[in-house]
Amino acid sequence: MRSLAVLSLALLVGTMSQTYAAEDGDVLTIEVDVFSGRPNPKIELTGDEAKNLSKRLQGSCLTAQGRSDLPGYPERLGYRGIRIKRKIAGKSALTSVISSGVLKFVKDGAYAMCAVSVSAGQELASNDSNSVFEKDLVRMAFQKGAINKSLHDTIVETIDASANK
Amino acid sequence: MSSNRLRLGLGLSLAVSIMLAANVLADVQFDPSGLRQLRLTDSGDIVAAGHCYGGVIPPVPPGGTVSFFPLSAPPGMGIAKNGNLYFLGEIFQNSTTFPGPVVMRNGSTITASVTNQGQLYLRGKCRNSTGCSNTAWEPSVWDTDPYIREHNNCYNYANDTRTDTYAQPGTASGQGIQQMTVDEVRSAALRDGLTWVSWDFPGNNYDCGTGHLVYMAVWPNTDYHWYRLDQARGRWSHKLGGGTPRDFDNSLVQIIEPTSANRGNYVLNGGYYCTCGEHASIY
Repeated sequence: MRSLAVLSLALLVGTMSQTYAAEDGDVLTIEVDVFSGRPNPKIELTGDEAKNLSKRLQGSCLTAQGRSDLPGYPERLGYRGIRIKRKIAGKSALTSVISSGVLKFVKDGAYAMCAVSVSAGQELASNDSNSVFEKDLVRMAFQKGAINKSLHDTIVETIDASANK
Repeated sequence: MSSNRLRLGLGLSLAVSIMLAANVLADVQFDPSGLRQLRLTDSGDIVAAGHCYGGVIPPVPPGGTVSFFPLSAPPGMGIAKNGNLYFLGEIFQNSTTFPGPVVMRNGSTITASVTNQGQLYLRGKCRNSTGCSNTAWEPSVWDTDPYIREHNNCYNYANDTRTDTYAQPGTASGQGIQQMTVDEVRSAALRDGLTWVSWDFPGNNYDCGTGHLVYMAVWPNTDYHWYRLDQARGRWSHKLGGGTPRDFDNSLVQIIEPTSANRGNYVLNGGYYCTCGEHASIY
Protein backbone atom coordinates (compact mmCIF):
# COMPACT_ATOMS: atom_id res chain seq x y z
CA MET A 1 0.00 0.00 0.00
CA ARG A 2 2.83 2.36 0.91
CA SER A 3 4.62 1.64 -2.36
CA LEU A 4 1.34 2.32 -4.19
CA ALA A 5 1.02 5.69 -2.45
CA VAL A 6 4.61 6.52 -3.32
CA LEU A 7 4.01 5.50 -6.90
CA SER A 8 0.85 7.63 -7.05
CA LEU A 9 2.70 10.65 -5.69
CA ALA A 10 5.53 10.12 -8.15
CA LEU A 11 3.09 9.91 -11.00
CA LEU A 12 1.33 13.06 -9.81
CA VAL A 13 4.57 14.99 -9.50
CA GLY A 14 5.72 13.61 -12.81
CA THR A 15 2.45 14.62 -14.40
CA MET A 16 2.69 18.10 -12.96
CA SER A 17 6.22 18.49 -14.24
CA GLN A 18 5.28 17.23 -17.65
CA THR A 19 2.18 19.38 -17.99
CA TYR A 20 3.14 22.73 -16.62
CA ALA A 21 6.69 23.13 -15.50
CA ALA A 22 7.89 26.68 -16.02
CA GLU A 23 9.57 26.83 -19.39
CA ASP A 24 11.77 29.06 -21.41
CA GLY A 25 9.49 31.09 -23.60
CA ASP A 26 6.85 31.55 -20.89
CA VAL A 27 5.05 34.83 -21.33
CA LEU A 28 2.83 36.12 -18.55
CA THR A 29 0.49 39.05 -18.92
CA ILE A 30 -0.62 40.66 -15.68
CA GLU A 31 -3.67 42.89 -15.96
CA VAL A 32 -4.71 45.21 -13.13
CA ASP A 33 -8.49 45.20 -13.44
CA VAL A 34 -9.25 48.69 -12.18
CA PHE A 35 -10.56 50.98 -14.91
CA SER A 36 -13.87 51.25 -16.69
CA GLY A 37 -13.25 53.64 -19.59
CA ARG A 38 -9.53 53.46 -20.15
CA PRO A 39 -7.87 50.13 -20.93
CA ASN A 40 -6.60 48.39 -17.81
CA PRO A 41 -2.90 48.64 -17.00
CA LYS A 42 -1.00 45.58 -18.14
CA ILE A 43 2.54 44.31 -17.85
CA GLU A 44 4.15 41.46 -19.73
CA LEU A 45 6.74 39.24 -18.16
CA THR A 46 9.22 37.17 -20.12
CA GLY A 47 12.43 35.32 -19.40
CA ASP A 48 13.36 34.70 -15.79
CA GLU A 49 10.62 36.98 -14.45
CA ALA A 50 8.00 34.93 -16.25
CA LYS A 51 9.49 31.63 -15.14
CA ASN A 52 9.63 32.79 -11.54
CA LEU A 53 6.02 33.85 -11.54
CA SER A 54 4.99 30.65 -13.30
CA LYS A 55 6.71 28.66 -10.58
CA ARG A 56 4.91 30.69 -7.96
CA LEU A 57 1.57 29.95 -9.63
CA GLN A 58 2.47 26.27 -9.80
CA GLY A 59 3.32 26.43 -6.13
CA SER A 60 -0.22 27.59 -5.45
CA CYS A 61 -1.45 24.46 -7.19
CA LEU A 62 -0.17 22.40 -4.26
CA THR A 63 -2.77 23.99 -1.99
CA ALA A 64 -5.49 24.36 -4.62
CA GLN A 65 -8.75 22.51 -4.20
CA GLY A 66 -12.24 22.57 -5.57
CA ARG A 67 -14.40 25.05 -3.69
CA SER A 68 -18.03 26.06 -3.88
CA ASP A 69 -17.82 28.89 -1.36
CA LEU A 70 -15.65 31.34 -3.24
CA PRO A 71 -16.49 35.03 -2.88
CA GLY A 72 -17.84 36.50 -6.08
CA TYR A 73 -15.64 38.66 -8.23
CA PRO A 74 -16.15 42.22 -6.99
CA GLU A 75 -18.32 43.85 -9.62
CA ARG A 76 -17.63 47.44 -8.64
CA LEU A 77 -16.18 50.63 -9.98
CA GLY A 78 -12.53 50.86 -9.03
CA TYR A 79 -10.07 48.09 -8.30
CA ARG A 80 -11.47 44.57 -8.79
CA GLY A 81 -8.52 42.18 -9.00
CA ILE A 82 -5.54 40.87 -10.92
CA ARG A 83 -5.97 38.79 -14.07
CA ILE A 84 -3.06 36.60 -15.14
CA LYS A 85 -2.65 35.02 -18.54
CA ARG A 86 0.13 32.54 -19.08
CA LYS A 87 1.13 31.69 -22.61
CA ILE A 88 3.71 29.17 -23.66
CA ALA A 89 4.86 29.33 -27.25
CA GLY A 90 2.55 27.26 -29.37
CA LYS A 91 0.07 26.60 -26.56
CA SER A 92 -3.10 28.36 -25.55
CA ALA A 93 -3.09 30.91 -22.77
CA LEU A 94 -3.98 29.87 -19.26
CA THR A 95 -5.83 32.24 -17.00
CA SER A 96 -6.07 32.80 -13.27
CA VAL A 97 -7.57 35.58 -11.19
CA ILE A 98 -6.52 36.90 -7.82
CA SER A 99 -9.02 38.88 -5.79
CA SER A 100 -10.43 39.06 -2.28
CA GLY A 101 -7.72 36.84 -0.82
CA VAL A 102 -8.24 34.03 -3.29
CA LEU A 103 -6.26 32.82 -6.28
CA LYS A 104 -8.73 31.22 -8.65
CA PHE A 105 -7.68 29.08 -11.56
CA VAL A 106 -10.14 29.70 -14.36
CA LYS A 107 -11.91 26.67 -15.73
CA ASP A 108 -10.82 25.55 -19.19
CA GLY A 109 -7.94 27.94 -18.82
CA ALA A 110 -5.76 26.78 -16.02
CA TYR A 111 -7.17 23.61 -14.50
CA ALA A 112 -4.61 21.53 -16.37
CA MET A 113 -1.93 23.48 -14.55
CA CYS A 114 -2.83 21.91 -11.26
CA ALA A 115 -4.07 18.45 -12.19
CA VAL A 116 -6.64 18.63 -9.42
CA SER A 117 -10.05 17.23 -10.09
CA VAL A 118 -12.92 19.61 -9.54
CA SER A 119 -16.50 18.55 -9.05
CA ALA A 120 -19.38 20.13 -10.87
CA GLY A 121 -20.35 23.41 -9.27
CA GLN A 122 -16.90 23.90 -7.79
CA GLU A 123 -14.06 26.19 -8.78
CA LEU A 124 -10.39 25.49 -8.34
CA ALA A 125 -8.74 27.94 -5.98
CA SER A 126 -6.13 28.42 -3.30
CA ASN A 127 -5.96 30.97 -0.52
CA ASP A 128 -3.88 34.09 -0.92
CA SER A 129 -3.36 34.74 2.78
CA ASN A 130 -3.19 38.43 3.65
CA SER A 131 -3.40 39.09 -0.11
CA VAL A 132 0.37 38.82 -0.28
CA PHE A 133 0.44 37.46 -3.83
CA GLU A 134 -2.06 40.06 -5.01
CA LYS A 135 -0.17 42.97 -3.47
CA ASP A 136 3.11 41.68 -4.88
CA LEU A 137 1.65 41.86 -8.36
CA VAL A 138 0.25 45.34 -7.79
CA ARG A 139 3.68 46.43 -6.59
CA MET A 140 5.23 44.87 -9.67
CA ALA A 141 2.84 46.87 -11.87
CA PHE A 142 3.95 50.04 -10.08
CA GLN A 143 7.64 49.19 -10.32
CA LYS A 144 7.29 48.60 -14.04
CA GLY A 145 5.48 51.89 -14.57
CA ALA A 146 2.07 50.51 -15.47
CA ILE A 147 0.46 52.37 -12.57
CA ASN A 148 1.58 55.42 -10.62
CA LYS A 149 2.17 55.65 -6.88
CA SER A 150 -1.20 57.21 -6.16
CA LEU A 151 -3.08 54.46 -7.97
CA HIS A 152 -0.88 51.81 -6.35
CA ASP A 153 -1.70 53.15 -2.89
CA THR A 154 -5.41 53.39 -3.69
CA ILE A 155 -5.45 49.79 -4.88
CA VAL A 156 -3.64 48.53 -1.79
CA GLU A 157 -6.13 50.39 0.39
CA THR A 158 -8.94 48.72 -1.49
CA ILE A 159 -7.36 45.29 -1.05
CA ASP A 160 -6.91 45.86 2.67
CA ALA A 161 -10.45 47.18 3.06
CA SER A 162 -11.84 44.11 1.33
CA ALA A 163 -9.76 41.81 3.52
CA ASN A 164 -11.09 43.46 6.67
CA LYS A 165 -14.73 42.93 5.78
CA MET B 1 -31.60 60.05 -67.46
CA SER B 2 -34.49 60.31 -65.04
CA SER B 3 -34.91 63.74 -63.54
CA ASN B 4 -34.79 62.36 -60.04
CA ARG B 5 -31.55 60.46 -60.48
CA LEU B 6 -28.28 62.01 -59.44
CA ARG B 7 -25.36 60.47 -61.26
CA LEU B 8 -22.01 61.06 -59.71
CA GLY B 9 -19.53 61.53 -62.44
CA LEU B 10 -21.97 62.74 -65.02
CA GLY B 11 -19.57 65.06 -66.61
CA LEU B 12 -16.54 66.30 -64.79
CA SER B 13 -18.34 69.47 -63.71
CA LEU B 14 -20.94 67.55 -61.72
CA ALA B 15 -18.34 65.34 -60.08
CA VAL B 16 -16.35 68.40 -59.20
CA SER B 17 -19.51 69.99 -57.88
CA ILE B 18 -20.10 67.04 -55.58
CA MET B 19 -16.61 67.32 -54.20
CA LEU B 20 -16.94 71.07 -53.87
CA ALA B 21 -20.35 70.65 -52.27
CA ALA B 22 -18.90 68.26 -49.77
CA ASN B 23 -16.42 70.93 -48.83
CA VAL B 24 -19.23 73.34 -48.09
CA LEU B 25 -22.14 71.25 -46.88
CA ALA B 26 -22.22 69.39 -43.60
CA ASP B 27 -23.74 66.35 -45.31
CA VAL B 28 -23.73 64.96 -48.80
CA GLN B 29 -27.30 64.31 -49.67
CA PHE B 30 -27.60 60.94 -51.32
CA ASP B 31 -31.34 61.34 -51.44
CA PRO B 32 -32.41 64.33 -53.48
CA SER B 33 -36.01 63.65 -52.47
CA GLY B 34 -35.17 65.23 -49.15
CA LEU B 35 -36.39 62.26 -47.16
CA ARG B 36 -32.90 61.91 -45.67
CA GLN B 37 -33.17 58.16 -45.80
CA LEU B 38 -29.50 57.90 -46.56
CA ARG B 39 -26.69 60.34 -45.96
CA LEU B 40 -22.95 60.67 -45.57
CA THR B 41 -21.91 62.53 -42.44
CA ASP B 42 -18.90 64.76 -41.75
CA SER B 43 -17.09 61.89 -40.11
CA GLY B 44 -17.64 59.51 -43.01
CA ASP B 45 -20.53 57.47 -41.67
CA ILE B 46 -23.35 56.32 -43.87
CA VAL B 47 -26.51 56.76 -41.85
CA ALA B 48 -29.23 54.72 -43.46
CA ALA B 49 -32.86 54.15 -42.75
CA GLY B 50 -32.11 50.64 -44.02
CA HIS B 51 -28.79 48.88 -44.40
CA CYS B 52 -25.60 48.87 -46.44
CA TYR B 53 -25.04 45.90 -48.73
CA GLY B 54 -21.66 45.29 -50.34
CA GLY B 55 -20.63 42.60 -52.78
CA VAL B 56 -24.07 42.61 -54.34
CA ILE B 57 -24.62 40.05 -57.08
CA PRO B 58 -25.25 42.14 -60.16
CA PRO B 59 -27.30 43.87 -61.14
CA VAL B 60 -27.86 46.20 -58.27
CA PRO B 61 -31.56 46.81 -57.62
CA PRO B 62 -32.95 49.08 -60.28
CA GLY B 63 -34.90 52.21 -59.76
CA GLY B 64 -32.92 53.79 -56.98
CA THR B 65 -32.87 57.47 -56.28
CA VAL B 66 -29.09 57.80 -56.49
CA SER B 67 -26.50 55.88 -58.41
CA PHE B 68 -22.77 55.97 -58.00
CA PHE B 69 -20.04 55.19 -60.43
CA PRO B 70 -16.51 56.34 -61.06
CA LEU B 71 -15.90 58.55 -64.01
CA SER B 72 -14.52 55.74 -66.13
CA ALA B 73 -16.87 52.95 -65.12
CA PRO B 74 -20.31 52.01 -66.42
CA PRO B 75 -23.37 52.81 -64.35
CA GLY B 76 -24.95 50.39 -61.92
CA MET B 77 -21.94 49.98 -59.64
CA GLY B 78 -23.79 51.27 -56.63
CA ILE B 79 -27.18 52.58 -55.81
CA ALA B 80 -29.29 53.96 -53.00
CA LYS B 81 -32.85 52.77 -52.85
CA ASN B 82 -35.50 52.93 -50.13
CA GLY B 83 -32.95 53.86 -47.53
CA ASN B 84 -30.65 50.98 -48.42
CA LEU B 85 -27.25 51.24 -50.07
CA TYR B 86 -26.15 48.60 -52.55
CA PHE B 87 -22.64 48.33 -53.97
CA LEU B 88 -21.26 45.78 -56.40
CA GLY B 89 -17.97 45.80 -54.58
CA GLU B 90 -17.23 45.41 -50.91
CA ILE B 91 -18.00 48.28 -48.52
CA PHE B 92 -14.94 48.98 -46.38
CA GLN B 93 -15.70 50.65 -43.07
CA ASN B 94 -13.36 52.53 -40.73
CA SER B 95 -10.98 52.80 -43.65
CA THR B 96 -7.81 54.86 -43.60
CA THR B 97 -7.21 54.54 -47.33
CA PHE B 98 -9.46 55.95 -49.99
CA PRO B 99 -8.66 54.70 -53.48
CA GLY B 100 -10.54 56.63 -56.10
CA PRO B 101 -11.20 57.84 -58.61
CA VAL B 102 -14.28 59.35 -56.94
CA VAL B 103 -13.70 60.88 -53.53
CA MET B 104 -15.93 62.77 -51.14
CA ARG B 105 -14.44 65.27 -48.76
CA ASN B 106 -15.35 67.30 -45.74
CA GLY B 107 -12.93 70.19 -45.96
CA SER B 108 -9.54 68.64 -46.60
CA THR B 109 -10.49 65.29 -45.08
CA ILE B 110 -11.63 62.51 -47.38
CA THR B 111 -14.68 60.85 -45.90
CA ALA B 112 -15.45 58.30 -48.61
CA SER B 113 -14.38 57.10 -52.02
CA VAL B 114 -15.60 54.85 -54.82
CA THR B 115 -13.40 52.68 -57.04
CA ASN B 116 -13.72 51.49 -60.59
CA GLN B 117 -14.68 48.09 -59.23
CA GLY B 118 -17.68 49.48 -57.40
CA GLN B 119 -16.11 49.37 -53.96
CA LEU B 120 -17.02 51.94 -51.35
CA TYR B 121 -14.47 53.06 -48.76
CA LEU B 122 -15.85 54.83 -45.70
CA ARG B 123 -13.93 56.65 -43.03
CA GLY B 124 -16.77 55.76 -40.67
CA LYS B 125 -19.37 53.03 -40.68
CA CYS B 126 -22.74 52.18 -42.05
CA ARG B 127 -25.26 52.81 -39.33
CA ASN B 128 -28.95 52.19 -39.20
CA SER B 129 -30.66 55.34 -38.01
CA THR B 130 -33.89 53.57 -37.15
CA GLY B 131 -31.98 51.14 -34.91
CA CYS B 132 -31.36 53.99 -32.58
CA SER B 133 -34.19 53.36 -30.16
CA ASN B 134 -34.21 53.48 -26.41
CA THR B 135 -31.96 50.81 -24.96
CA ALA B 136 -33.16 47.62 -23.34
CA TRP B 137 -31.65 45.73 -20.40
CA GLU B 138 -30.02 42.85 -22.30
CA PRO B 139 -26.72 42.04 -20.58
CA SER B 140 -26.35 38.79 -22.50
CA VAL B 141 -25.78 40.78 -25.69
CA TRP B 142 -22.55 42.07 -24.19
CA ASP B 143 -21.60 39.16 -21.96
CA THR B 144 -22.14 35.86 -23.71
CA ASP B 145 -19.21 36.20 -26.10
CA PRO B 146 -15.99 36.83 -24.14
CA TYR B 147 -14.49 38.66 -27.11
CA ILE B 148 -17.35 41.17 -27.16
CA ARG B 149 -17.27 41.52 -23.40
CA GLU B 150 -13.54 42.15 -23.22
CA HIS B 151 -13.27 44.49 -26.23
CA ASN B 152 -16.10 46.87 -25.41
CA ASN B 153 -16.06 49.21 -22.43
CA CYS B 154 -18.44 51.50 -20.53
CA TYR B 155 -18.47 54.04 -23.35
CA ASN B 156 -19.44 51.36 -25.89
CA TYR B 157 -22.16 50.10 -23.60
CA ALA B 158 -23.56 53.53 -22.73
CA ASN B 159 -23.80 54.38 -26.41
CA ASP B 160 -25.18 50.90 -27.13
CA THR B 161 -22.59 50.63 -29.87
CA ARG B 162 -20.23 47.72 -30.25
CA THR B 163 -16.95 48.64 -31.89
CA ASP B 164 -14.60 46.00 -30.44
CA THR B 165 -12.08 48.80 -30.01
CA TYR B 166 -12.64 49.63 -26.34
CA ALA B 167 -13.96 52.96 -27.60
CA GLN B 168 -12.51 56.16 -26.22
CA PRO B 169 -14.30 59.54 -26.27
CA GLY B 170 -13.01 61.71 -29.06
CA THR B 171 -11.30 58.98 -31.08
CA ALA B 172 -13.99 58.84 -33.75
CA SER B 173 -13.94 62.61 -34.09
CA GLY B 174 -10.17 62.81 -34.33
CA GLN B 175 -9.15 64.20 -30.94
CA GLY B 176 -8.98 62.05 -27.86
CA ILE B 177 -8.84 62.93 -24.20
CA GLN B 178 -5.68 64.78 -23.20
CA GLN B 179 -6.28 64.94 -19.46
CA MET B 180 -8.68 63.00 -17.29
CA THR B 181 -10.98 65.84 -16.32
CA VAL B 182 -14.71 66.35 -16.67
CA ASP B 183 -14.15 69.13 -19.18
CA GLU B 184 -11.90 66.99 -21.37
CA VAL B 185 -14.15 63.94 -21.37
CA ARG B 186 -17.23 66.08 -21.90
CA SER B 187 -15.67 67.94 -24.81
CA ALA B 188 -14.54 64.68 -26.41
CA ALA B 189 -17.99 63.15 -26.10
CA LEU B 190 -19.60 66.22 -27.61
CA ARG B 191 -17.15 65.99 -30.51
CA ASP B 192 -18.29 62.39 -30.99
CA GLY B 193 -21.80 63.72 -31.42
CA LEU B 194 -23.38 63.19 -28.02
CA THR B 195 -25.64 66.10 -27.17
CA TRP B 196 -25.63 67.94 -23.87
CA VAL B 197 -28.63 67.77 -21.55
CA SER B 198 -27.74 69.07 -18.09
CA TRP B 199 -25.53 68.76 -15.01
CA ASP B 200 -28.54 67.86 -12.93
CA PHE B 201 -30.66 64.74 -13.20
CA PRO B 202 -33.37 65.50 -15.82
CA GLY B 203 -35.63 62.63 -14.83
CA ASN B 204 -35.92 59.13 -16.23
CA ASN B 205 -38.70 60.21 -18.58
CA TYR B 206 -36.47 62.72 -20.35
CA ASP B 207 -37.11 62.56 -24.07
CA CYS B 208 -33.97 62.11 -26.18
CA GLY B 209 -35.97 61.65 -29.34
CA THR B 210 -34.62 58.65 -31.20
CA GLY B 211 -31.72 58.31 -28.77
CA HIS B 212 -31.33 57.61 -25.09
CA LEU B 213 -30.03 59.29 -21.98
CA VAL B 214 -26.50 58.64 -20.65
CA TYR B 215 -24.49 59.92 -17.70
CA MET B 216 -20.76 60.47 -17.24
CA ALA B 217 -18.57 60.59 -14.14
CA VAL B 218 -14.84 61.02 -13.64
CA TRP B 219 -12.29 59.53 -11.24
CA PRO B 220 -10.06 62.62 -10.94
CA ASN B 221 -6.92 62.41 -13.06
CA THR B 222 -7.48 58.69 -13.51
CA ASP B 223 -10.47 57.41 -15.47
CA TYR B 224 -14.01 58.08 -16.64
CA HIS B 225 -17.21 56.04 -16.55
CA TRP B 226 -20.52 56.09 -18.39
CA TYR B 227 -24.01 54.88 -17.54
CA ARG B 228 -27.09 54.56 -19.69
CA LEU B 229 -30.81 54.72 -18.99
CA ASP B 230 -32.84 51.67 -19.99
CA GLN B 231 -36.05 53.64 -20.22
CA ALA B 232 -38.53 50.77 -20.29
CA ARG B 233 -37.29 49.76 -16.84
CA GLY B 234 -36.74 53.30 -15.59
CA ARG B 235 -33.35 52.19 -14.31
CA TRP B 236 -29.77 52.77 -15.25
CA SER B 237 -27.16 50.20 -16.18
CA HIS B 238 -23.44 50.22 -16.86
CA LYS B 239 -20.53 48.06 -17.89
CA LEU B 240 -17.36 48.06 -15.83
CA GLY B 241 -14.68 48.13 -18.48
CA GLY B 242 -14.36 44.69 -20.03
CA GLY B 243 -16.71 43.18 -17.50
CA THR B 244 -20.36 42.20 -17.37
CA PRO B 245 -23.14 44.82 -17.55
CA ARG B 246 -24.65 45.62 -14.19
CA ASP B 247 -27.67 47.58 -13.06
CA PHE B 248 -26.49 48.24 -9.51
CA ASP B 249 -23.92 50.54 -7.95
CA ASN B 250 -20.96 49.98 -5.62
CA SER B 251 -23.38 49.58 -2.73
CA LEU B 252 -25.21 46.86 -4.69
CA VAL B 253 -28.21 49.18 -4.95
CA GLN B 254 -30.11 49.41 -8.21
CA ILE B 255 -29.48 52.71 -9.94
CA ILE B 256 -32.43 55.02 -10.27
CA GLU B 257 -30.38 58.21 -10.47
CA PRO B 258 -26.63 58.07 -11.25
CA THR B 259 -25.77 61.36 -9.56
CA SER B 260 -26.82 59.88 -6.24
CA ALA B 261 -25.46 56.37 -6.82
CA ASN B 262 -22.33 55.03 -5.14
CA ARG B 263 -19.75 55.51 -7.89
CA GLY B 264 -16.64 54.65 -5.87
CA ASN B 265 -13.71 56.81 -6.93
CA TYR B 266 -15.67 58.33 -9.84
CA VAL B 267 -16.77 61.24 -7.70
CA LEU B 268 -16.88 64.04 -10.25
CA ASN B 269 -20.23 64.73 -11.91
CA GLY B 270 -19.80 64.76 -15.69
CA GLY B 271 -23.40 65.45 -16.57
CA TYR B 272 -26.16 63.99 -18.69
CA TYR B 273 -26.24 63.61 -22.46
CA CYS B 274 -28.34 62.17 -25.24
CA THR B 275 -26.71 59.77 -27.66
CA CYS B 276 -27.38 57.60 -30.63
CA GLY B 277 -27.44 56.95 -34.32
CA GLU B 278 -27.21 59.87 -36.60
CA HIS B 279 -26.06 62.16 -33.82
CA ALA B 280 -23.10 60.20 -32.47
CA SER B 281 -20.25 58.08 -33.68
CA ILE B 282 -17.75 56.39 -31.41
CA TYR B 283 -14.64 54.31 -32.01
